[in-house]
Amino acid sequence: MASSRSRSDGPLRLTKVGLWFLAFALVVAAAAANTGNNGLFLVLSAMVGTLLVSGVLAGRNVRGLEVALAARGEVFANRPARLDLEIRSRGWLPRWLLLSTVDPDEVEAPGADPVPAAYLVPYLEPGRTVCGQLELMPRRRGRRRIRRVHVSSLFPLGFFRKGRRYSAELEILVYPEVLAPSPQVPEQLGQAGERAVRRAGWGHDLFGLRRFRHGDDPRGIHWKQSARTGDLVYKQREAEENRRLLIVLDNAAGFGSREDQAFERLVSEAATAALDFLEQGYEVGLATREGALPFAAGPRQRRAILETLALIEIRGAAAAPLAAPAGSPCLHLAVDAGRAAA
Amino acid sequence: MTARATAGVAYAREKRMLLAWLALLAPLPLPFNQVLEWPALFAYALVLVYFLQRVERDLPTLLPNWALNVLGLVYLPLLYLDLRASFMRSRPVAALLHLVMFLILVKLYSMRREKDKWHLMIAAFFLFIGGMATSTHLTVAVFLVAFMVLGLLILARLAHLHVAAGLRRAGEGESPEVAAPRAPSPQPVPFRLPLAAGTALVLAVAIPTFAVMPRLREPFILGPAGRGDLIRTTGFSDSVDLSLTTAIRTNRDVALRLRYSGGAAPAGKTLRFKGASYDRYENRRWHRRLQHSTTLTPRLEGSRQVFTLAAGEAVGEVEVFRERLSSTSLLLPMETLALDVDLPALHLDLGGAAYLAAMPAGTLTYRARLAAGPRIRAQLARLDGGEVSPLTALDQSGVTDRMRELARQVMGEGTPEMSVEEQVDRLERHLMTQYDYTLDFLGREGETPLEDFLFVYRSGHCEYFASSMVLLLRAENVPARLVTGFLGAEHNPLEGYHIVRQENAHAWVEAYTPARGWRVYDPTPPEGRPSVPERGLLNFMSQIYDYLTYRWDRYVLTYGAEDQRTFFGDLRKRLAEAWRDLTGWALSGEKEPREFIPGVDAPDGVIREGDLWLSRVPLALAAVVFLAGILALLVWRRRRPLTGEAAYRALRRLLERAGLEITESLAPLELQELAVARYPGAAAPTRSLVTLYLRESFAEEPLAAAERAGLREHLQAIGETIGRPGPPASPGIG
Repeated sequence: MASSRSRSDGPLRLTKVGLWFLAFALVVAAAAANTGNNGLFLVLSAMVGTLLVSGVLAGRNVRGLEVALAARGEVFANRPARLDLEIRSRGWLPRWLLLSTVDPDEVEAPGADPVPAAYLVPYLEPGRTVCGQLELMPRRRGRRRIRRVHVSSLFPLGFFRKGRRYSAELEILVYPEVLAPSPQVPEQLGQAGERAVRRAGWGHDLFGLRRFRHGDDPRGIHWKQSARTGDLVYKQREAEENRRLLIVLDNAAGFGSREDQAFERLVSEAATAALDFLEQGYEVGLATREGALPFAAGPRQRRAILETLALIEIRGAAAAPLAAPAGSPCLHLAVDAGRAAA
Repeated sequence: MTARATAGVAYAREKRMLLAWLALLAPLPLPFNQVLEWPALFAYALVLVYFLQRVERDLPTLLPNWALNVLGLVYLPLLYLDLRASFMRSRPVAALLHLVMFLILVKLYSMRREKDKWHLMIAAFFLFIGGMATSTHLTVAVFLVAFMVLGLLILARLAHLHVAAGLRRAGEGESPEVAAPRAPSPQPVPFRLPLAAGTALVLAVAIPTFAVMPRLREPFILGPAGRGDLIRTTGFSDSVDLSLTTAIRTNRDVALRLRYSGGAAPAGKTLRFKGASYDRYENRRWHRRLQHSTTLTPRLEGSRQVFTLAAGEAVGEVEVFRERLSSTSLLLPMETLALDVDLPALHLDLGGAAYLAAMPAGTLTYRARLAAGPRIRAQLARLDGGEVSPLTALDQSGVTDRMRELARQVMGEGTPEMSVEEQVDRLERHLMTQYDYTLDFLGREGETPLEDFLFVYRSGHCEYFASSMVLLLRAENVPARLVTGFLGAEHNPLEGYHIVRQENAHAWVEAYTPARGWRVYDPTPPEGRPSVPERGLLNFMSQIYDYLTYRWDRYVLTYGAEDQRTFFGDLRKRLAEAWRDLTGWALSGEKEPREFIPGVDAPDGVIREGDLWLSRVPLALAAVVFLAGILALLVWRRRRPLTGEAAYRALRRLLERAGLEITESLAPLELQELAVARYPGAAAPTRSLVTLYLRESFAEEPLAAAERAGLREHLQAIGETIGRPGPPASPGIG
């Protein structure tokens, strides 16, 4: 883990408890000065000492850490996402009550996301590393760049809150929000799997065997052949014409907040449909005004579709709607037409 | 019960226990200071201990609301009565303390909300302040540290629980798998190390803070009210009253501390300090005739004021630290020839005892020059308008016929040719051997305590023995006076001073005989005289305690503005001297003779000029190098290139001073836009600076030397544009 650069997030912030303590110290100071009672001066000295030591330790507690952040799995909009966090304590002093969170001011669209949840490290021995998870709930799809992790602490007495921002460059791609699957299906999807074609696909019949390649669905491994040959053998199935779906997403919707909202909804519907049909074994293609993804199935296609949908941008309104190629079952999504099946 | 709920219960239990312990500890000194009654503390402690037991056993401790209401209503009339009684006794604080203790108990038994714990801590703090403000005993330091440790522990735990509780609240309402990572780890957090280190650090900061904290008034001590009013203890006072009907307890408070110098330290048992002399016995009391005193004025010896009490050659000196005593007497060793004390005048009574015009408020320090033996400067008679007045040392008041008869029997019977000196010795021996020493006077009542002592009880303490001898001597026309003071002192090896305690208070007789002049007679049996404890572990412990007590009294309780002035004055003087010495050595070459060191100096013992320089030059050079190093460091810090972060902070400060609202959350690019919009002339340097800062901080690309040097120029340009001086000289300020 690389050493993290950090910067203070400003001076110590007095908490409510600290403010009360300070107020009491002032009252004791007034009483001591007024009476000359050295018993009160003793109490006042102890209180001043407590405040000073508390401030110094608070600052020291959050310095000299190494912080690293990594994404964990797929990140969808409006779903809590987990980020792996590693904190290592440098130096010879242990740390207490470290509260880590993705710095809300450091994401690219400040305020767009809700305040991320924090991770508490109650105690960290010197030289040790602790691993935890931070949560993030991205509101919108697209790229998110998380630049910093904010580490703060109320240690030792809760009088001060001191924080430091540690740089932890991480870029994540937030996929569109996944909605509940729609009961409606395109009309052509009625008869499934009658017409097999002689090419590899996601049908029911066996097409052939080949060596397992990275990215293949592990469920397709032919275990008996693999055991015989000593190598992983993949079971290819024949394609079926009717187990295909083309999602046509017309991103020429015009500019405006209403169009924006409607378009985002369509992107989410496209993502939901793609995931749904890919899960059922369909070959799914995606057509937009930027280009098309050919029919395919499997994890690679799933990632390709989600990435395309995560980054797709709205365009100005077009004169003609985006045409769907004839012959294939098609899910046509356009702002003007709403959701239409061709 | 889920794990999280279990953790919550454990936290709540721990919180209750810690707060209950704090509440139990807070009022402990109050009854010792007689600010709070012992029964009240016992009742309070009992309820708290019961509460702690219930918490320990996980039994429910919360009172229902109706019970709280009933308790509140029941306490109202009690509060009224308490306030009335307290005001009648002129101690309204007691009622207030009772109320606070009641509130603490009620709060403990009704702690439902989070803020209840703060209310409890504030109330406990109030009791703690009361205890600290009214305590004078050394052990209050232990109380302070104990309360501080417990307070720090509670604050640290509450901070932990606060953070953990915040996370739990944030996790509520979500699915378990989402909330689970947010829940605090149940692992125990080790707090011993930070607690111990924190306490040590706080003490390390608090002690110098206490010393330098500005004092506006002289030290004021709220001593325990009524202490010593009810119980008679041994000790020195300005009166001798023999109408005792009770037992006397010994009092080991320190009265004097003595540091001898110049001669061999005397044996502790023989030290005798004269405090007051008495001439007239009336109505069971001895009286001084202070209207006939002598007033001495000092003579100056350099910057010192010296009072001469007797002629003779001084063989030594003693420095006396007189503690706070309820007396005006200036207790002096019997051997005193002269006194060095910062006073405008000194009074001597007819028996030659020194006293002051008013009772000193605090500790008094003086030095006495000592002769080899006792010096008694007593008067037999006085001159009043040129005529000799009656001999005060022969005042016959208090002498009864039975006493005359006894004196005649003891001093003269059967030996008409016996000298006066032998007669006096015989009387002293008679009292010493035929009478017993006691401090128990329970049941004794009578208008004639000395006759009762001589003829009825035949036992008493030193004042009875000495008073009887004085009156018996006067009955036989031997001039005599009663003298009170201290006898004996124990040596404290820790600092080499002698301690005279209140229990060393004593009374004796000074009698005049033609052959001997004035002389001390002590008729008290040896077992009744103040003794010096033998060396032993107990005594050693007692001396350690005394050592600490002295320092506590001197440097804590009575530490004030005058001490601060002295301290800072001394410090300034020492620094000035050190500087003068340094410059004198290094620059002017001022020579001072030093002792001959065999093997180092010339064999003839002559120190040559070159030798001195050889020994001083390296020191001076080292000092110069040290100062030059500091100077170089400062210059380097001023001139070293700025970092991107330091430059950005300086930019923020510049803009802030120029009136822009620069909040903590303002991102760098937003700040740049703000600055450019307001100062278009500074757009280029602002953009360059922010870009370099972003590169350094976020892209983790170290800036080249030229770029860092450019940062300063950018700042300067921005500063000039917005009409302010350039960048701050030191990058460290940011």
